[in-house]
Amino acid sequence: MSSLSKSLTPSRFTSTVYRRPLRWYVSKIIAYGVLVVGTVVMIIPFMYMVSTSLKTTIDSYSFPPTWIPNPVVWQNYVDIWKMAPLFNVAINSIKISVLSTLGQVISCSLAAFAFARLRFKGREVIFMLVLATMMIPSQVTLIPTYLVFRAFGWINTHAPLIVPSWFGGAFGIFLVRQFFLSIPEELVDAAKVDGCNPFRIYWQIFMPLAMPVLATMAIFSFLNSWNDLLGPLIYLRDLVLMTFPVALASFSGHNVMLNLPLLMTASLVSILPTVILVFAMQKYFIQGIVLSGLKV
Amino acid sequence: MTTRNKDFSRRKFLQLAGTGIAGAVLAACAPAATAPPEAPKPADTQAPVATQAPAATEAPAAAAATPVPTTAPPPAAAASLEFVMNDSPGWADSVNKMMKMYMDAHPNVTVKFTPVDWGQLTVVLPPRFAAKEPPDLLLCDAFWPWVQQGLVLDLNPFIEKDKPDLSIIADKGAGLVLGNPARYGLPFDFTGSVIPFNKTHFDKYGIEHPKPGWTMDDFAAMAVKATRDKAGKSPLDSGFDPKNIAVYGTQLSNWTFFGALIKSWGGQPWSKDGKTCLFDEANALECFTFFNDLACKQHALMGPGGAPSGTDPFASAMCATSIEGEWQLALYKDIKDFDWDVAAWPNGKKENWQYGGSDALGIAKDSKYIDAAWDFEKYWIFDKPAALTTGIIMPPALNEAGLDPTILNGRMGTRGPTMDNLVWAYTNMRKYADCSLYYQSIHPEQWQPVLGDMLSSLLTLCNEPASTLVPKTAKQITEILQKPA
Amino acid sequence: MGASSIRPSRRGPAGNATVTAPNPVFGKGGRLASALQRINYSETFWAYLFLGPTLIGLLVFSLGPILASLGLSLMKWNIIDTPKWVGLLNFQVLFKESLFWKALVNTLRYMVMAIPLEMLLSLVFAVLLSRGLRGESFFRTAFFAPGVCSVVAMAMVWRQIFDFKLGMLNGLLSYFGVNPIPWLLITQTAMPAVVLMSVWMGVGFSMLLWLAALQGVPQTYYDAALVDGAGRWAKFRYVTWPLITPTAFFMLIIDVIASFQVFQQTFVLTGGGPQQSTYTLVLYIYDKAFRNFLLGDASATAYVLFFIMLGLTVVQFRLQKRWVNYELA
Repeated sequence: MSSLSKSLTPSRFTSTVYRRPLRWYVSKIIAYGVLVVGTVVMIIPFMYMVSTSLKTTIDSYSFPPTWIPNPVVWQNYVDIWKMAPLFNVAINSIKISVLSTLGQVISCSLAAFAFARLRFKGREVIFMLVLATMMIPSQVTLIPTYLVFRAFGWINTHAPLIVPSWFGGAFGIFLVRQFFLSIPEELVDAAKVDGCNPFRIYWQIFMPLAMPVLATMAIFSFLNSWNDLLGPLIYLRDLVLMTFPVALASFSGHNVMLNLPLLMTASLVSILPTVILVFAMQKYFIQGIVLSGLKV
Repeated sequence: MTTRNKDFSRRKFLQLAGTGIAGAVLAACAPAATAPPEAPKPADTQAPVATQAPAATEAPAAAAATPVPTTAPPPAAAASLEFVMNDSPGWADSVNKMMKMYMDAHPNVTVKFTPVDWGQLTVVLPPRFAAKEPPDLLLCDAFWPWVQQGLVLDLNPFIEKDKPDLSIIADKGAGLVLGNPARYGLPFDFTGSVIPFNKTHFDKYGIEHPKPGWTMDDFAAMAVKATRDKAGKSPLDSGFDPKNIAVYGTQLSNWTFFGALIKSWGGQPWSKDGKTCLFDEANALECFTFFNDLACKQHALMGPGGAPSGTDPFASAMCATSIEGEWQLALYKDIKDFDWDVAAWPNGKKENWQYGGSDALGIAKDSKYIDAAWDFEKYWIFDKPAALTTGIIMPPALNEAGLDPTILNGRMGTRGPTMDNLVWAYTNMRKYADCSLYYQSIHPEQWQPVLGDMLSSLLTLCNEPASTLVPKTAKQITEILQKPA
Repeated sequence: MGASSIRPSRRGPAGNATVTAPNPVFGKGGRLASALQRINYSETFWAYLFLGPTLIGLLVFSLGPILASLGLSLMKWNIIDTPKWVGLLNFQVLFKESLFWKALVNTLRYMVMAIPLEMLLSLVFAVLLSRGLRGESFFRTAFFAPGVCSVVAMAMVWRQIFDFKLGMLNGLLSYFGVNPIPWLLITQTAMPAVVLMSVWMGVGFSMLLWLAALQGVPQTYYDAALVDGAGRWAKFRYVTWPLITPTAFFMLIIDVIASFQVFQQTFVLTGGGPQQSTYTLVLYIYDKAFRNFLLGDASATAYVLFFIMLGLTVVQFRLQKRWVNYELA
């Protein structure tokens, strides 16, 4: 792990007593200070959600807000579970998200390789076209897109949520392309001399190097798909096909109006899967990025 | 990158543009082409298809034994009712129950209820309209653009043919009058506003309960007395701390109520043609000033944005009374912390008005089963058992069912209200109903936020007096109303 | 790469031209293999192979609807009747409507506040977290956590936090003696509140990108700088920053595009109010399309938005020569 502190104590000084300058301690304190404040700011809304969800209604309206519920009430979590059968919904969400992400990783990396390392006529134009697709707000293409899917007969199935991901995506292509651009040409040239065709270059050289970027893109794509509300809302009709965001949005529309703690519980439950995912996966992708020394 | 070639030259741009325009021409033909007249297949995922045999199997609920509609093609009457998911729990259950009753009487018809949240309807339905696959029945009077776009059928031909007895529907100009003279919907419910009050709190501080015949001034006085700060002092006591209010006397956050409130003061919210806003006329201004004072000078009223959104201030005991919709009573059933009761609105300063009106049920123009939809609609609205079934949650429009004991019993919670007061509240609500703000249909998405901001200012922020703010806002709203459609 | 011979030599071990059977098609020395070998000059073929899925997707799922809406921008369509050609009328009406300009200004305000704040904050955190401090992975996860949540869910929570009378933010401020601020209720604070929430959600992912970039700076450069006597700031300015400019570029492009399309935060937090102060362009488009059933106008607005973003992107691509360094080998 490249670290500035290490370079401040090069090895030839280890034989003598080397005291770190005061400045070093001060800068460490400042660094930790900033980080702690930053973390607190990031985490406070979550703490607020947890704390409020455990309060009674009266307690939740105290001002200034208190952090420790008094008394602690677990009832809301029980009530939430009774309100919505989330198991089926979770299966749907997982299936859609995993399949989409897989498709994205494969198709985007292929396309990114083409844009980064293959020369062909119209490369810039097509790349701009791909980028341009990001620039149209989805609200306006909603109805034409719906009509396209209807022409295929995919309404009320999971297809509109999965299939397009297998056909590229502007963000993923852009991200991976930037990375591929920074892989030295010499590697490619060496491979060509050995008689590799582009697919082998892609598969055996670029992809292994790109693992952390792909992981990043995969996480992003997964979250996008998991949190997508609009898609399932308009393409799915049967309740049995529904995904998490729709289910949670609909039951926050009624019932929870009785009290704030219940509303907070609902929100907490809705974000729990993704936060758990982050904690579980951070080992793979956050540290993966850090340890591999890649550049984007 | 060593080969820099990011020049987006003019030629390339023109190439793109050319492709774009060619594509546009192609696309122009697309919308027409993508709506093929599909014959409904049994595998159709929208709703289970059912056939309705001609009149022979029709239940007697249908109004008249009119000649069999020979136009009905063999595939007929599956109606999929797209409906708004209400705040109050139990709505879906009651609707499903009512539909089951209908389906039992009409074995060849299947009805499906798809709940969709209010906020999501604006996004979910337009694609379906575009694809010519709308829900057969829909809530039509809350969605003016749909009515104005002609997405909803004019029901007059059906009404003339079947002649249901419209006089038995409690209606103060709501569902029947949309589009005068056209009728885009019939009211399937009749709802309005009541004033719940916290008996436990009232008795604790010795405040008199509201009684029939009470006036707006009584109401104001009661609200002031009921407001208590953390030390238990009311605004009438010395040492009252307005920064530390524990319980507000009342709350008012729903802008639609102001139509009836203005009329109670003898004013009118709109001119006859609906194109001028009359908030700044003397009577209406007096009404706004009344509530402005109650909120800002006497600290007895909590305005919009005062309670955490998504929660109910009365149920959480933040307010001792509330100018609230009767639809919240379904929620209040679960109140466990205090005793409560309801009251009708106080008598107005000059006239008696209360907020009340109907939601109307309409039939989509592109529905494939129009006759069956009409038949079902008639059943729901005019058939007493049907009306009573859903009326448990949303009071029915049918007069003879509106004050039925079953309906009122459905509002009983563990800690309130009393039957006498319920009868009082609901009778008045139906008698003096007004919905004039709610039904103003000229550019509502433009003037509603303006009105909302004004109320927020008058009742919550208290940063401008009514005497200057209201005329200013009235002018703004008039400008909006005068804009061409 | 020199072209290899087209056909393997027919000279057998004896050195004589032998008549052999015609070359097989498949297999290692076969005609197909040699034909494929020949194709290495045609990168175009490979390119289109790699791009195949994307191109299909582009055509069917993206371009089709996008071009359809381009076409719609020149027509009036209320979703049910057939579209009517009106030429550039929609654009003319659009530019005259004051609400459009208000929405545009609001969107620019958002952009100008949100992008620098987010990029800077995330860079600071990333720099701090790439030094081998203890507990780094905890901090990284903490910063990233907000970004994984659904915008809608967090917007509901933030609405509570910003609440005037009972919100947590005002509660914290009251400890410092600050009077409650009606965050979402007055025009001066509504947009900053939206920006605050957006930055809170976006910092994590930006930080991740910076981290990746920072890790790619070879240690040797830092050592060389140390030998030259560079201080911490000089190290950053002359070594770190130039090498992470590709990431900065990427982030800038993406952020500009994303902030022009900000929708969910404003929709849920404020609904565009108060007094239209958080009414952004996409909200305008949404209203036009779904509330007013003016899909032609909505499409026209979307295309104006598109051309603005395209213009900004092109400008950025051209300017990148000045400040972005790719691949310092």
